[in-house]
Amino acid sequence: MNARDPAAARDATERRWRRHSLWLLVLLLPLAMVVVMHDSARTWWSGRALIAREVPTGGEADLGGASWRLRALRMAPLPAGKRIPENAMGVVAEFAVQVQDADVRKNWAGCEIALEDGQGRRWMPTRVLPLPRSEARECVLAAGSGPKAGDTVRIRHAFLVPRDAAAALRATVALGPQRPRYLRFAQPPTLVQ
Amino acid sequence: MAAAVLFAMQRSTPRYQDLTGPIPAYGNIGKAASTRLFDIEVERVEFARQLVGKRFGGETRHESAGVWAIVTARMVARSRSVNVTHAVWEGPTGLRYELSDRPEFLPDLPPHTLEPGLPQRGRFVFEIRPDQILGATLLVSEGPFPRLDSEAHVALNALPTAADGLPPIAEAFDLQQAGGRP
Repeated sequence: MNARDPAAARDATERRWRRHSLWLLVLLLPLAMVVVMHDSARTWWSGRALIAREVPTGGEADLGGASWRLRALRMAPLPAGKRIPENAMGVVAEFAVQVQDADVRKNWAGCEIALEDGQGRRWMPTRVLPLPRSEARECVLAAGSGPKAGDTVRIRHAFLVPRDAAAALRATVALGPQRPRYLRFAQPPTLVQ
Repeated sequence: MAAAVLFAMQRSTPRYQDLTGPIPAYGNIGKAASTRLFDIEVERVEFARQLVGKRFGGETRHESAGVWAIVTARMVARSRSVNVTHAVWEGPTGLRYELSDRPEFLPDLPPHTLEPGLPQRGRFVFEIRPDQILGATLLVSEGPFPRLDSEAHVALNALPTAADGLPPIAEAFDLQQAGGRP
């Protein structure tokens, strides 16, 4: 009996350690996954426009140290041609943006103006449609021009979209440091000829 | 026995490049391949000894020691606008031909900017060896190094063949003529 006691005690200790190790594994495995995946998950989360803030028609909203207002969203059917596919509609979105914080280059890094439909499809600006010259610029160029606090800049982009989806499209603004939050303007496009 | 098993395991272990490589989305001529970002359906494949086009008002002519392969495909973006910039002609023996950069500034050549809901035609032009014509696969992806992302693998089978067993090879192919968009 005396000879068996130490062995039994050792067995019990070993069993306890095995049990503890098993429980630790249950804790440590997810923890290790969190540590390893943390950076990727954060990059994924902050690299996408996921959480929309709705802006009512005619309204404006603050994003990236500026107040954004959709001045006009116009659409016109386009005849099929060399660089225009069949059934295409041209859409032009123009924003008036009042700068409040002068560090626009940092605040607007990765600026992306897009059109979005109810199914989550997104249309990015196209270079196929040449726009007449005006003081309005593309978002990245406007940010690069270094506007100061108090300035109002005009930002304009053209899009190529299918005719059947055009009326349901909404303009969106996403800025790098602000993602996953972005602005979605409720104003529908108006048809011009 | 153990050595044989170890050898087999060593030979069959996938490499890191394979594990993290592109995920094929299969199609063939007339049957669309559907990748994460775009659908592509190859409509026809043509071959020519010379490529003809216009540049700065003058005619340009590109000859080849091999043969020009011109693939015309119908493509559409799925959930967002996408630029399709990369394609490879993979011959039956595994030889890979990148897109030719010789025909420049001609219409309907990559990069193809695709919009959701707006199918459009575009061309891919390769300069290949004649023995790589039959049994080839067209690989198309958004960028040049698709990793853990889908890549269209379109089997270029069922090509019409002439008496010599090869598809007809035209003397010249005019890239200016219709066939691209819309």
